[in-house]
Amino acid sequence: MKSIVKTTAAVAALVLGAGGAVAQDFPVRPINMIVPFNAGGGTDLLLRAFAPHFAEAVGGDAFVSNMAGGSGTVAAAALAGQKPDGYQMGYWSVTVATVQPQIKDIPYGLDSWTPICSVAASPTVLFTQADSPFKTVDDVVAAVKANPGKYIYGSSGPGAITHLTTVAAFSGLGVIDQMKHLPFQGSGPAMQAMAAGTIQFFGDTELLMTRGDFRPLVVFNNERLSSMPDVPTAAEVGIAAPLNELYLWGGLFAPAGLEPAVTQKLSAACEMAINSDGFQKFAADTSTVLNYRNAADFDPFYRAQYAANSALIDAAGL
Amino acid sequence: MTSLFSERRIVSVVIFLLAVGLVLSTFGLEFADLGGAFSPMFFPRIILFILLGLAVLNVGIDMLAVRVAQPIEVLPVSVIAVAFLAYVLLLVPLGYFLSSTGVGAIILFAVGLRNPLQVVLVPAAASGALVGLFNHVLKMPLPTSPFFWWI
Amino acid sequence: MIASLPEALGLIFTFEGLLVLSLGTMLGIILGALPGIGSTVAVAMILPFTLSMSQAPAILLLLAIHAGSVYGGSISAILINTPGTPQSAATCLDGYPMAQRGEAGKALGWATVASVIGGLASAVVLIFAAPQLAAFALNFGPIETFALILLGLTCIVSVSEGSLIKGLMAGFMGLFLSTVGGDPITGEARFTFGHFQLIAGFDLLAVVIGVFALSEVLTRAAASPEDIKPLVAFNGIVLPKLSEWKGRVKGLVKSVLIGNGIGVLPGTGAATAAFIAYAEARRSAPTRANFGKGEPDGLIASESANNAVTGGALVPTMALGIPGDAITAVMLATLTLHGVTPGIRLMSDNPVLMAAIFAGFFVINLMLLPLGMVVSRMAAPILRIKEAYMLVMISLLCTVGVFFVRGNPFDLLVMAVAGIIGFILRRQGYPMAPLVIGMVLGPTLEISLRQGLIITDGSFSAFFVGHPIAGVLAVIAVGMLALPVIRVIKDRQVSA
Repeated sequence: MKSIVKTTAAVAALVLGAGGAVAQDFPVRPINMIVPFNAGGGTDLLLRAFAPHFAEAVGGDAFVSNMAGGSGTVAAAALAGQKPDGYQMGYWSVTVATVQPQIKDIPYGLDSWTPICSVAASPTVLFTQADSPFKTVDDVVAAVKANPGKYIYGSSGPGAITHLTTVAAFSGLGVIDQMKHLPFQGSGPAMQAMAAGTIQFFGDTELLMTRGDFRPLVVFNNERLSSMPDVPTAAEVGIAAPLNELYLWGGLFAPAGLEPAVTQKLSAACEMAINSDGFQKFAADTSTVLNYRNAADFDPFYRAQYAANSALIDAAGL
Repeated sequence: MTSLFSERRIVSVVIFLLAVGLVLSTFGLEFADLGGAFSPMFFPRIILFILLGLAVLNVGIDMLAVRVAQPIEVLPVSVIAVAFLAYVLLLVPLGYFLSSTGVGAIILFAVGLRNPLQVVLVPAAASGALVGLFNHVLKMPLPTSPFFWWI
Repeated sequence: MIASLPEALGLIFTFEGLLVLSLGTMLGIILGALPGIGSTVAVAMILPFTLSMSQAPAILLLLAIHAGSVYGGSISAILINTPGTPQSAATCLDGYPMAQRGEAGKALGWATVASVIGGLASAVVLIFAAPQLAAFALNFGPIETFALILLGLTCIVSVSEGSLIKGLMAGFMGLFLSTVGGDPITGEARFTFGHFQLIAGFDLLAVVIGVFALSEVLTRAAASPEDIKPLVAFNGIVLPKLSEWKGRVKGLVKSVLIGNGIGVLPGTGAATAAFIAYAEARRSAPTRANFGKGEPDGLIASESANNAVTGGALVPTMALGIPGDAITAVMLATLTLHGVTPGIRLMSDNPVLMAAIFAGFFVINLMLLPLGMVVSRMAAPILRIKEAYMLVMISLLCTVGVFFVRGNPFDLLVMAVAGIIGFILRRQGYPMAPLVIGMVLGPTLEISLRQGLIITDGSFSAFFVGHPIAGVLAVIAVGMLALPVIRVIKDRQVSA
């Protein structure tokens, strides 16, 4: 009799210890937050600032790990195959979650994830060199039509948010076939090429734009930005939906099939962490635009973005 | 007598065959037909054609020249090479500590150490120290075993 | 810039400032000296600690770790023939033969002094000419970059030990390996043959560690017990005497300039600089016949150039807010964390901070000399442990180093396979340094060529019209290629 009790207890302990994801006890071991890029990049620092507040909110331990390569797809593909136990989450950007799976043959897709929460979202801006002759979008369209094949837009790589921004702009304006696309390896070389005059147009978030001497032409947001009230939105210059809004957003994803109670717990912890003083200060220091959505709202948002971005991918010819 | 199938000649022929295979693989692939610099195969094809040309020359040179092969202890090298391949494949499923201790012990055994204490304890101590440092002090985890999350 | 120096020195010469600089440099040297652990992993290890520090110390710590690890890589390259990073690969070529001759202490002495001079010179350039250099770098568009990389590729000829054909083959194998994975222009996957893992391409460090460190382990295991060469004898650094510098100063100056110049340009880096400087020294040094057999001039060239790059890479980073390499990108990101906006106004908005960084960089390079001597003295007893244990330690550390570069277990498989293939190729006389050069230069060569063709609408002949810099570089490249041929012909005439 005694031995049966003992055995049951031992088995129970084993199951709890190894299998783990019983919601009320969650978490019993550290949570791994995966950055799909190298240590020290923007995404990495955001998550490193986020992790301690998240750990406190969820009442456990959390650490950040990096897995880089293939524009973030290597990490996402690795996580997609993992057990959905809530101990592993990835921070995917709009491109990793919604663009890459549609342009590359990779082992994850729309239904591979349990979206947990969105953390940040910034609208993108199309810009040119501050001393360029182009003051408005109309100037650009007129110049491109007058000299087909002369003007070049840059990007930080095929399928990157910088590429999508320029494609949304010039495809929406109907002049993309009369321009050339020059991809670079990262935003740094592209910005340098802009300063040197090799490329004339580039698109990125407002934060990136403020680093150089650039002139914004159009912003891909639903309304004008308070920081640059004179810059028109894409809809105002005649760019039709779904190309008129484009955000660089990022959020936490767990593998598909996560227990709803655990999802709830993680999503709530995410909200607490975003609202914590420490993380708010980080966002203010780095000009990160926070945008929290809980698991219930993030899921439909993510699916809608996936569908909307397929139009952009077609326009980009990817 | 042994010269026709010397190690060196086999290697140069294998490289030549690989180059031929890679050159062939650049044709008949389904890439968007953009032509010129836009084609993903534009650059690799240039490289591979030059490599193929060099490989042909190389086969010729190695066929003409006669060289004495360096001596080699085949057994320890093969054991270590196979063990290392198994090690990198088992590193994630078994975790860094267990797999490293295993491969370390095999290397020590292969190069002639026989004292079981040395053969097992040295690799275990080394990999244990690394796991302790990275997983627990720096919080930069190496892969862990399925049995215990902390090691 | 110079006006802010006094205030900046006040930031550095505090207890905290000097502590951070000396501890950081020391730690950087140790991490760099461990086989397999390179600058990237060293910086990743230290990054979490910098997050809680204030502006200046955080950046200085990262800089110290970086500069220290670039130098530290030369220690393992010389003593056990396993470069921790691609940038020390050129150091092995002459460093290890010297060590085998029993001159390990001397080899490290040359490497240390060359590193310090390279670093200090680049710090001076940085302090006085960063904005001007950054403006000059803007002249390097895709076409100029292509010509420069072409020039870099000619190094393959000069580092091909033994057989030129086999060296060229290794170089082109490296170029081919760099094309595997996502296409940089269209994003399509190439040569993945259905294996998703290959989409990220072959990691340079995984291949470098494989073909150098792991194949060295196999080579040692392959030697029969009677002719195992003992690990090199080493009892600490022996600094070169002043008289020994005779005839070597010109090469040193040239290498420092090459390192600085290449560091300033985006997308090139320390490994490129080290190889180009090495090739140039091998072309022009009076001692060129001894290169590859343990000639100090070879060591001086690669070590002074790769350390000069650390300063050069700071030029576009600080003057334009554009990172010069992966490490400076981390520094910029760390700055944003402290509320500093990187960008073209970085220097004008934060003159004191920038001056502190530049001056700190100078101090770090001064510290390399004494700290390098301390660390290599610590390394001496480690070299006396049983060789079998050493093989295990190298294997385990390489695994750790390669794993943390991208966190991708697939890279470990790449390392293992590269190690085995590298071992087979090395036995058959294929030199491995050209393979590394090919892999380092391949991505930039390809993207700059294709970008150039997009700009000129597919006309290669348009490359050298209206691009004087590109034209000059291309002429030099052709000259470098022709030179060995001319020499051979001349030698024949002499002997005939």
